[in-house]
Amino acid sequence: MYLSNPMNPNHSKPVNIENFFHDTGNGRIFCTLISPQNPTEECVIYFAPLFEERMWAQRIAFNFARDMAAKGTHATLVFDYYGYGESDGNAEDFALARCREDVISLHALMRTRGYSRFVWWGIRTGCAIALASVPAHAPITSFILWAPVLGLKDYIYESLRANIAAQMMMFKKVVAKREIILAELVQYGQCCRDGNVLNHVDGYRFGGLFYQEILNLNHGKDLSYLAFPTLVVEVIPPRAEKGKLMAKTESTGEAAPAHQNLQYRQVPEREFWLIGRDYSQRAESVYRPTLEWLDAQASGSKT
Amino acid sequence: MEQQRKIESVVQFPNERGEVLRGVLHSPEIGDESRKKTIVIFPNGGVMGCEGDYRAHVSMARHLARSGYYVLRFSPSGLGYSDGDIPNCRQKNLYVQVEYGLFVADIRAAVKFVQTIESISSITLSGICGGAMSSFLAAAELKEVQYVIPIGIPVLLDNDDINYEVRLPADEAKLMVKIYHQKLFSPKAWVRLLTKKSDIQKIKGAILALFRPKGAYISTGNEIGKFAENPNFFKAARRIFKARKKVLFVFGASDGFWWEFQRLFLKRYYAEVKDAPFDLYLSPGANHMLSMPEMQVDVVQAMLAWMNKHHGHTS
Repeated sequence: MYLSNPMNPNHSKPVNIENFFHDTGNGRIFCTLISPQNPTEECVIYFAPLFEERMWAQRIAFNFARDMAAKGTHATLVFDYYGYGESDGNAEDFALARCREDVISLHALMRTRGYSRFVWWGIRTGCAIALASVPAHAPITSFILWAPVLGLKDYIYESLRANIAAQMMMFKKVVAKREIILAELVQYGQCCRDGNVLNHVDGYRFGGLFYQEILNLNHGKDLSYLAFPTLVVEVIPPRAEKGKLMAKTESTGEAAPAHQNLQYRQVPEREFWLIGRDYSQRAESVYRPTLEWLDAQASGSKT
Repeated sequence: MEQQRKIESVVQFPNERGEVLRGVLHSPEIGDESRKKTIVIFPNGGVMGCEGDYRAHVSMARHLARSGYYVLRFSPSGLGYSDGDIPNCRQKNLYVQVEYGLFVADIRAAVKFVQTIESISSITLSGICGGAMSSFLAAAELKEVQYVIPIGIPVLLDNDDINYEVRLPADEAKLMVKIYHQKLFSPKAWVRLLTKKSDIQKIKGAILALFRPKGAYISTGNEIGKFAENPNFFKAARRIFKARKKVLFVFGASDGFWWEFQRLFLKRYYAEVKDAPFDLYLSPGANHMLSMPEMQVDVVQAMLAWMNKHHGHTS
């Protein structure tokens, strides 16, 4: 039992935090369930970002889950992808198909615990993973996407820039350009030079199967196909110049045509998924509109 | 996989403030009753929870468990999935708090916890970077701890007011300048520089580092604009050596902190430490945070060899 953060107005309300391993029959998935003391049917399933962003976003996500539980409305299931965190496997084994199977298994588990309404919540690349993991008959009521990265292929290509810099330090020259790394990854399952594996983003590896899955993803940045009410929260960092908010609105409007299920919010907030000058375990300007939206969804579903 | 299922379990225990700390306990795969029960505790990974940056603690713990050791990895207050909160601050200020012993009380709670769950005969503390410092400071304080393996321990205090590049060792600076020199005729590199996409501070730091007088590695002292040695590290070292506790210092060969450790500790305090009961392992090709699984394996094998020697275990 935990008394949540004093900065949260519901701080006097205790919440339950339970860690456990869930055996899917194909490896163990590490889970943390953060739940209210009162019974609720609402369960949020959290999809973390990949690579190092996952680490920096962890406590931000955990504290939001605590806030929701303290409010008494939603439980949150945080899980480590196969090959990530405390779960079984190695990072190279992570694949979207496997993740989908694991999430179906986790849904079944949560149903046995009395949860019947599910909100999927992703941060950064976690949004793309969530969207790619939706099963055919998804028991999902809504989506929450924070600072979504939807183009995984482009994201990985850009992120490999740091890998090139690392090669300069390691080999004193570039031994494999980004295109080569990705081509060898698809062809041989990994890209290796002098015993050094190069298919990694900032030291966090990814496998050939996963990259092949990314290449085969057919929905791009367009979210209009979603059949569920969806909240997209875009984060505008403080350093962004004046007018960026407006510019962003226009660009998002273009990327995502008006759709009754989609709601966009833009909030000024630091990029909490990156290491920065400031350290904070909370992101109030993202939390607030999300809680409001969840409240509106709940009241809408009751009427 | 089957074996992993048997040996990893979630645990939780309270700290002195009543906050619940959460983690994972690895039990050994070797079911040898005659073997002494020894445990390695990994606390925080820098300012991350118990899995450590690059998942290093997880892979190292699994190696240790396969070789017959118990391992407890836990997240101190405010990290991972443990209770507690860390108030807003500058990133480097948080590092300083860790370097001053922010998590020592939670390690004390972990040591108390492991004594209740198994008939443990010896406790080793380990960790990387900030985790190394937390473990080292705790090892000085806790009589129950006889062994400590700090990996990439910082001997300088972080400082929010100083550019990190000032810490760049001259040797590393030379290498960096050589790389920049190679880029001198690259149009792409010039475009990146002129569009301010290059790390200008890093380039400037590397060039300036070349002009430092020989032997004058970095400015240290207590004046503004200089890095300060961590007095807690030196105090802890004296206590640990005096108590004849066993220490294995581990560094990645390409870790800048290794240079600091050599020049600001080993050389400066040579007379004091030359007979101290510590060993040193330099992992070839490894960086500060052991970001690659191969680096983690190399270091954990060195840890195993050292612990097996001290505990009389065969590898």
